[in-house]
Amino acid sequence: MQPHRLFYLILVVATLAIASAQVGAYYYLDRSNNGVTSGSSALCNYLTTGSSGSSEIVVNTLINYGNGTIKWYNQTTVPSSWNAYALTMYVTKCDVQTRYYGPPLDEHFITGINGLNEHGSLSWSLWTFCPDQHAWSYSKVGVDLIHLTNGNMLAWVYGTSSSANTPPAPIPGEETVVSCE
Amino acid sequence: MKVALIAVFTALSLGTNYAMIDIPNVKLMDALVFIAAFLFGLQVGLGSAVSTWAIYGFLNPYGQADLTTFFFVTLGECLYAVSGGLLSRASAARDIINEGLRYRRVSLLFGLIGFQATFAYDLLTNFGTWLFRTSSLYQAFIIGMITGVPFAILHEASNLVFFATVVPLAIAASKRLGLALAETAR
Repeated sequence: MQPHRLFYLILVVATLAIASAQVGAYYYLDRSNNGVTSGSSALCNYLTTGSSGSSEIVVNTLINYGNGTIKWYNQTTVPSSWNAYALTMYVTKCDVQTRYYGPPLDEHFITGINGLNEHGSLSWSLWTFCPDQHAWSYSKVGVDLIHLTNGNMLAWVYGTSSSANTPPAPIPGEETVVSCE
Repeated sequence: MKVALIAVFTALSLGTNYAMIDIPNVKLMDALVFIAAFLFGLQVGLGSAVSTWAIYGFLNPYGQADLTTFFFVTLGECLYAVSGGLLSRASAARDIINEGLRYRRVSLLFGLIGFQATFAYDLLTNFGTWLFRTSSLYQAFIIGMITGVPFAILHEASNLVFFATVVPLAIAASKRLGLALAETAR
């Protein structure tokens, strides 16, 4: 190894630098998947600027904090390729806490929105509005599996929920249905 | 002769790829392309890389590659051929092979080269994946690197092992059989 000591040294140092960069990127990805993405981060920046070249749709989002505060994000224009997770990240400027379940699920479980995190029996639930029935339906699928279409209305509701009871409706007094179909 | 070698390495790459189809990003193909270029020259390596992806990219149980993906993975695979071709001309490789293939040194050399070539491949292909889904080249680079890192780590770690074990064994076997090593034996 003597005659090529510098060559080997460069190889080892470059490999260590690459490995460090990869571990750093993995740590960053893991944090962002678990909802610790800074609002100014590259990933959030990507989510909040949207992708070029895809068609756009208009959606409405409601966040009910469970304490009487209801906030609407009306007529939000987003790429049609987005799912409800990307939309949630967008409207909250990435202020979302999640538990990430990696491949093969590749799913996010939302545990906190805009600083309000799950606590005891209180948690966030996701609802979609069924235009035909004029009623809200509790989502049976995860946030990543809800693909957006033009005019979609989604709602996040903070409240008591359990496996036995459906969580409270997004807007008190409004009708709910089991399914949009 | 070169066409026959390309056909053999393509068949080996495809056979091992399909056999290892259930293990994402862990494939012997990269090491085989590297060996092809190292032992038989850059043209054989490049030919093996392109012809393997021409088949594997379109006949794949996970789905057919779109043209952008096909372009970047083929270009990325060529990096293994280029690194094999370049290393075969480097005095560091020539010396350890002509001196009698000391296994630890050979493993270290090929393992590190394989790791770095794989990093370059992952960087390029992850960039390509996001090129038309982001609004700038910088975003494509950063988003690609971050979102692709779990697969990249698996790919790099497996290739580090394959390049440190399979490549030295293949080169030792070919040296014993008197095959090629045209550049390294000079």
